[in-house]
Amino acid sequence: MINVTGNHDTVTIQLTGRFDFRLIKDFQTLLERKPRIWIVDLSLVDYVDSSALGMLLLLREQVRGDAQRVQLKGLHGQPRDVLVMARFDKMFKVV
Amino acid sequence: MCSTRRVPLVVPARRTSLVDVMGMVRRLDLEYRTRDEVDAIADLVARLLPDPALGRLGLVELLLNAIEHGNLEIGRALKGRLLREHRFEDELAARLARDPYRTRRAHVRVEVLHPIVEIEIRDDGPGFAWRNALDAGMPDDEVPGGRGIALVRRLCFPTLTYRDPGNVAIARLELPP
Repeated sequence: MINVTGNHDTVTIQLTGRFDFRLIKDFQTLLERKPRIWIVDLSLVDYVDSSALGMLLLLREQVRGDAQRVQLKGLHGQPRDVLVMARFDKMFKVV
Repeated sequence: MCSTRRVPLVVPARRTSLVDVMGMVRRLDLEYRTRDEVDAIADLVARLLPDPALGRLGLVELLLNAIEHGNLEIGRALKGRLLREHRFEDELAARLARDPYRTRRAHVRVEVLHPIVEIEIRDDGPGFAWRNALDAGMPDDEVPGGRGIALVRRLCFPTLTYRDPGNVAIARLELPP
């Protein structure tokens, strides 16, 4: 599930449950927004797959690779294991 | 005149569930075609694995690969491009309806030979350069796709390998005693 809040400056994407291949379409709709900062809140996510990695990279591309402009929040458990393994803790700002 | 009264026979409900039989499974053969079927297969097969949570992730990755990369022949670069152009889902649907992809199926075989569980996922596609993919590890670039195999190997199924020409993925796991 995706819940989006924010304004033209900062948009927070709050995900719940599984952040996986089923969300690709919804996530792409989100990319029509162009905020300065994206915050991806993963505190309620208990499962990510490689499609989630792909979706985060799409966000990163949208801000032209500026690591400061995509922030990952609430990393824990399985999502943290997967993201760290993919070295996303180096490619994104973890808050 | 006498009448017989029918007494409804009450059969006590016997509650059985999948949990009761999963321990008896020695072999499973499943066939599927679309991504919508992947969650259900992964939920079922994961119950046979030593770590169901990580096992489920590994299964989903391999089950999706068999459809997307195997049967529908969408390689890593193409998937990246389609994702960027927001056309990935549409392209999957289009290929599923089109020859030669339309008639292809993917097949899952699970064999439980205590203490080993062997999983085999086979697709009807042409295969791929699997040795390169296994050697490459986690990509360092920013193509938004192609991280599944590295993920599966590192976190879920360290024994993941393929059979030539690359359309059969095999993983062996050891169950705790």
